Amino acid sequence: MSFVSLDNITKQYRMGDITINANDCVSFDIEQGEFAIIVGPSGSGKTTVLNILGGMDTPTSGVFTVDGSEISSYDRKKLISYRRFDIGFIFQFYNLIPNLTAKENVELSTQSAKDFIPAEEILEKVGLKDRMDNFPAQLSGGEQQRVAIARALAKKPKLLLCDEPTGALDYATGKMILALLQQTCREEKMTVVLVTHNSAICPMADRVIRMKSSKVEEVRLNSAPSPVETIEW
Amino acid sequence: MKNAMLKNALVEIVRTKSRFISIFGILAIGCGFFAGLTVSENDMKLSSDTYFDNSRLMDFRLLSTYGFDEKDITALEESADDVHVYPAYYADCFLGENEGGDIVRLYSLDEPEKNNEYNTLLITDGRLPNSPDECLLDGSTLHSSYKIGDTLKLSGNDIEEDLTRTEYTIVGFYNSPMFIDDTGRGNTTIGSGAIDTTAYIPQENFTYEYYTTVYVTVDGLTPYNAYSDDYSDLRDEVKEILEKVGDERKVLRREEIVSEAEEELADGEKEYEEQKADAEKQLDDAKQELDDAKQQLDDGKKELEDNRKLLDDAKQQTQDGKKQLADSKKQLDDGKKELDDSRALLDDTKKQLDDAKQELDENLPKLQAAEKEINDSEKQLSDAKKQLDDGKKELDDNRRLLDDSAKQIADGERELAASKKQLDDSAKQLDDTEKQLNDAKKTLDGSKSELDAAKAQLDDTKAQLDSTKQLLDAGQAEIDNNRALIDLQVEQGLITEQQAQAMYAALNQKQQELDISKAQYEAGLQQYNAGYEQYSDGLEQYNKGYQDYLSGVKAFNAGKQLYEQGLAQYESGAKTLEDSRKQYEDGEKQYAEGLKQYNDSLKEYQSGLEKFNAGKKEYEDSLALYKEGEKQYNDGLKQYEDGERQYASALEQYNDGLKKYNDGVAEYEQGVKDYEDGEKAYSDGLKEYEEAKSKYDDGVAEYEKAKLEAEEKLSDAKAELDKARKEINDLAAPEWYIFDRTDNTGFSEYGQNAERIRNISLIFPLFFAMVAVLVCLTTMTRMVEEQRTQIGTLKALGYGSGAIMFKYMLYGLSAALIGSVFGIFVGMKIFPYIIMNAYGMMYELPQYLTPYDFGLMLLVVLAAFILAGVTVYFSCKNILREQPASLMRPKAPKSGKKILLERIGFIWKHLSFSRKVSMRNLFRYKRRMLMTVVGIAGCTALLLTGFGIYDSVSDILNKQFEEISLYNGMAICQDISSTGRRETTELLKEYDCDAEAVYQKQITVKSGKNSADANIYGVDSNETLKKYVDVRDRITGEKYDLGDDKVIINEKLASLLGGVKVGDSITLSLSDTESADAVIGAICENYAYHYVYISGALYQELFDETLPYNTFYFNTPYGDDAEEEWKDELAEKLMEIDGVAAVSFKTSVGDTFRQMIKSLQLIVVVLIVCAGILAFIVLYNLTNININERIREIATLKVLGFYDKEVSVYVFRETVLLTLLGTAVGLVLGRILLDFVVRTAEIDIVMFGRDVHLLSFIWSILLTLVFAVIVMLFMHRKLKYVNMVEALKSVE
Repeated sequence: MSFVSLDNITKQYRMGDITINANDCVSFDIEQGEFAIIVGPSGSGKTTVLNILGGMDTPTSGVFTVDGSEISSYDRKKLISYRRFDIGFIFQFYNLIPNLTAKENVELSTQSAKDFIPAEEILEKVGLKDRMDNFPAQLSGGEQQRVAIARALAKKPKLLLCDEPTGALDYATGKMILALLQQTCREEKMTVVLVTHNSAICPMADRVIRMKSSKVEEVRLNSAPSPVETIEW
Repeated sequence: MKNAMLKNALVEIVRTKSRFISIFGILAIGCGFFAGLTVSENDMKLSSDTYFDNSRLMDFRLLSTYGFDEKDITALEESADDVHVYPAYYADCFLGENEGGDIVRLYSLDEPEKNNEYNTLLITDGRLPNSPDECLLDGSTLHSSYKIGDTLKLSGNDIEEDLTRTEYTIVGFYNSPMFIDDTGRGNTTIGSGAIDTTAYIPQENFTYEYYTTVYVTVDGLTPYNAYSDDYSDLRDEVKEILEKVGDERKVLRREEIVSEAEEELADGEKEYEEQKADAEKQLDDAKQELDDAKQQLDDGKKELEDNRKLLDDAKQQTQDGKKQLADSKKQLDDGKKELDDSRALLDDTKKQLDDAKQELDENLPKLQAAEKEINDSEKQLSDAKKQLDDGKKELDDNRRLLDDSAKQIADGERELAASKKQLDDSAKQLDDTEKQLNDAKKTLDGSKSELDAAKAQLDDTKAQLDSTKQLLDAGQAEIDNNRALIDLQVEQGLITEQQAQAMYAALNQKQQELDISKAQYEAGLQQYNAGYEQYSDGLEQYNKGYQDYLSGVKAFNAGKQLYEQGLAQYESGAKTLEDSRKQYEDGEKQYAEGLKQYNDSLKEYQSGLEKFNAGKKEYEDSLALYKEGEKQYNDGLKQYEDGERQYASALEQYNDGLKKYNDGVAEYEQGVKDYEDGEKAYSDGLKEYEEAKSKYDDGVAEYEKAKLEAEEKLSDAKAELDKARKEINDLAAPEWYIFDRTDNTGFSEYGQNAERIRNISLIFPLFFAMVAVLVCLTTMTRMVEEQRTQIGTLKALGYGSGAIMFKYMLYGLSAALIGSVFGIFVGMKIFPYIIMNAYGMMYELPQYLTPYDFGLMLLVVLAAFILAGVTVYFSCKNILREQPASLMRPKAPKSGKKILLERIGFIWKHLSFSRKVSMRNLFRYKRRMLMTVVGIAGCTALLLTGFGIYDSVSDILNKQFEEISLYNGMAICQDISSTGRRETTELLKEYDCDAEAVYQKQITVKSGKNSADANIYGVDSNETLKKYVDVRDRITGEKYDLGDDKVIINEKLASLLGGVKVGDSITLSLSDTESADAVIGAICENYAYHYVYISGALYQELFDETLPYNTFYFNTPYGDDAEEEWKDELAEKLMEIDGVAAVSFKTSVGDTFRQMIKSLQLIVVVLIVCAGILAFIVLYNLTNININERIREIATLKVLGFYDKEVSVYVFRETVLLTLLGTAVGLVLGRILLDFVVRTAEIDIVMFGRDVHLLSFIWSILLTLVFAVIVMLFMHRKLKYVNMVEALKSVE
């Protein structure tokens, strides 16, 4: 069985009398250590998939497993633990706590983890050794996203989920962040799932899952992913 | 366009209900509280003024030292147009049949069956009187012991002169507008000085010549509130007019009185002169009559004296004769007695002699018989002696025989023992031998079996050897045969030599082997033979041993037979010996019996001998006695005959003397009769004389008395006339006193209380207004912040600032409008009602009016409006100034920064990670921090105030009645005699009460301009005071001693007197005329009423009299826990004593205060509810804002996998810290607020406790925390269901 496996995941939102299908029988697998990109236009349901993968949302029906555990059957409490120990999340808008320094933001996630990389070490790794004691407002967007990546990686997650991590960044910085993610995937054998609407970056992935209108349109394996540096968009 | 905005605003309100409600709520509470408390003062005053107007409470009350006559009334009526004048009567007296009880003031009901037009009574029960002997009684709680139909008995103060009757039937109860308070009914000159209750009786019962009082009402004053300045200004004007009337009338009144008196005086003088002349003439006539009577009396007296002398002589003569007769009679009686004695003696002697003769004759034959008996006995005794000697001899022989047989038996025993020993030895020997034999047998048997075994072996060997021999022999034979065969074959030539040679060699080989075997066999045979020889020797030995054994057995059997014979012999010897011993013992027993018999007989013989000797001696003595008696008898007979002759001659002499005496007696009796007749005649004369004399003396006395009386009367009349003249000359003009309503303590206290409420109403709402502003500001600011983008959009769409602000204004102002109107409507009803109810326990008002004050309402709504408007304006101002573009962008998050605490490394380092975050957050939102602290502090302060007020008032009870007043009961006396005082002391002692007399009276104490009513408390010594009062300092607890040079007063009195201190001088006024200055020695703790403690010595020095004790204080043996029956019994007995007016126990005094505390509980509840609402609103609002503002942060935490509890703790830690801080601030604030409220609310006669109990602090803290926890629990639910996806979806 694959490391991550989605089987007929359906998510419906009820809005008054109308029922909206955000995901409609979505199925795909991702192997351990893969760099997977879910790509699709706005409203195609890719973020919903990511939220379900990250335990922030529960599917209306369908089964999905991560590392052999059936996450779709977890209750509230178990889902919190799942997020706490198994998932690293990276957002488009970083979602750092404004009142905490870079280092403290990282510590916020490590203080409750079972096994973790010390905040200083991970921050040094993402190149923020000198900005550790700065508050988010004193950091640039790229730096903030790097803090967010550090925060996600510090607790050694099974799965690193990125929701449009470059959406709020300029081209160069975005490229740098993608490079950092790709490097992490290769060096740490980290399974990375990245959601984007930008199909130009697909060549960097091991697996590309194309979504459209709440359905999986295509799953394509890329035997020779390109380094980010060579990709232009 | 406007429509869209309006709709937007309305939708907003519905969407953010909780936010809208919190603004609404805080404004409702603030406005309601303010309006309610503010209007309370007016409502209180209005309620009472309405009552006063409806009942036409007098505006003025007039008193005059001479009373008022009709002319006075007319003058008053004419003084102004709208003045109504009501002349009336009143009188003070005691309730009950005895003076000294409670004091009642009687008022007049001016017209029958009708209520008075002024001070109209509110009949609470029953009806108006319709006959002159009916009355109405004060319906206050002062006298609940009476009921309708009871008879009201009055006494004292010459009430019989002032009233036509002193008993009235109670037909109803009333409340009077004059006395709206429960505490007093004014002062009087009688009794304890304080009026206890009032009553109304029909006017016709008063017999006064003039009206005692006049009530005035003024129509022009009615429209004004009695407590308003307008009222008092106009009232003062009217008062001036009335005073002017008074000034005129008092001069005129004096003149009237003087001229009337002068006329009367002249009449009096004329009458005096006439009566004087008349009296003198009457006296002279009487004198003449008396002198005549005196002459007649003297004559009669002389005649009587002559008769007396004659009678005395006759009396002497009779007395002499009587004496002589008595002497003779005595001589005769003596002689007669002597004769009777002799006769009796003679008769006795004769009888004795006859008795003796008879006795002698009886004794003679007895003596002769005794002689014969003695001789017989002597012979019997000698026979017995002989028999005894024979018995003795026989016994001795037996003894000897017995001793011999004893010796024989002992020898036999020794022999038997020896043979027994021998037998035992033999038996032992036999046993040994038997054992030896058995051993030998066993050895022999062992040898036999060994031998048999050896034999068997030998036989086996033999058999083997024999078989070997056979084999050997067979082998030899074979060899030999073979050899022979070979030889044969050789011979026959069947085989070659060579072949034969080889065959021979093989045979030789075999022969050789056979030879070796043969040699072995031989050796074996030899061995066998040697063994067999050994065996034969052994067998022989065994046989020999066996023979020995058999002979041993035989010898043993012979020995054993011998032993058994010996044993039989021994046993028969032993039996024989046993028989001999038995025989011996029988002999011994027989001997002992013989000996006992012998000894008994011997003893019998000896006693017989003794008896015989005694009998013999007796006989001889009797014989001698008989002879002597015979001689005496003969002598006596001779003497008796001589005596008989002497007696006869004496009897003749006596008879002659008796005849002479009887003649003398007859003579004497005649003399006595003559004398008694004379005496009777004399006494009759004397009586007649004395009657006449007495009559004369009376006449004289009467005359003297009449004369004196007449003189006295005349001089009195003269003096009176002089005095009257002087009085007329000195007569002062009457004095008029004009009182208005303010002189009524209930009226003015009520006004003061209303003003106190106003003071309180200023401070609480101020506080609420502050919180309201803070709540509005933070809420609106947050709302505007949240809708940044929307504002930007609207701006971009071209809406002006005004149009945008309209929405927020509408939101804020509608909340303010609805909130304030709602709050005011509720508050204006509820608060005045609660407050008036609380005061209702002290003031009797028929109804509570709580009308809406629309002016005030408008004012408050306007204030709320402005407040909300300004708040909204300031919240929007900044944001509206920004460009639409910048509004569309998210507001740069407030950047984090280091706080001061981080620079203090050692503290910061020790804080846990999440605590650091909380600390930073605290200082990040300073406005919210301030608001939380203020809100929570307010909550705690309100709670503490509520509990504190309760503590303060309950301290009056606890401290005053438990700690300070140590007495258990008191008996109040009125004009008690020293006997009554002694009886009281004894009765109390009988009930084991520790009692002392004390002087207690209500007096006025002054210092400078200040004055106050207080109780003087005079005691003989400091020790007495200590028994009943704990005189101590409130703060230090130091006990004060009462000295003989200074007084001690209580704390509240000192402050009422303008803050006098120890060492200051105060004036004590017992009455208007008696006052003195005293120095304060100490100021002590006291809560209810005021006291001036003074020693007897100081009182004597100041007022020049000893303490007029009028109260007994006592401590019961059960303390305050005495049973009701016991107390009733004691009280009843005390009341029976003349002069004891009232008995009360401390426990019942405290009840009044207990009731007061009950109504305060309501206020405490109101404060707690307000505090709770405040805490909820503030905390809910702030936490809500906090959560909304940080929703992304919270969602992020949830995404990071924070558990629900961790999220709540992360968010609430700040709230908890701020709550704790706020609580601490609130305790300080509350203490100050409480102090203010207590000082403001306190009434003059009591001092509230100043301490707040620890428990109240704890409760305040706990309740605040409970409120906070409830809000947090509520918010925890909200946090739990924050939708992460939604919150993180986008940045607006």
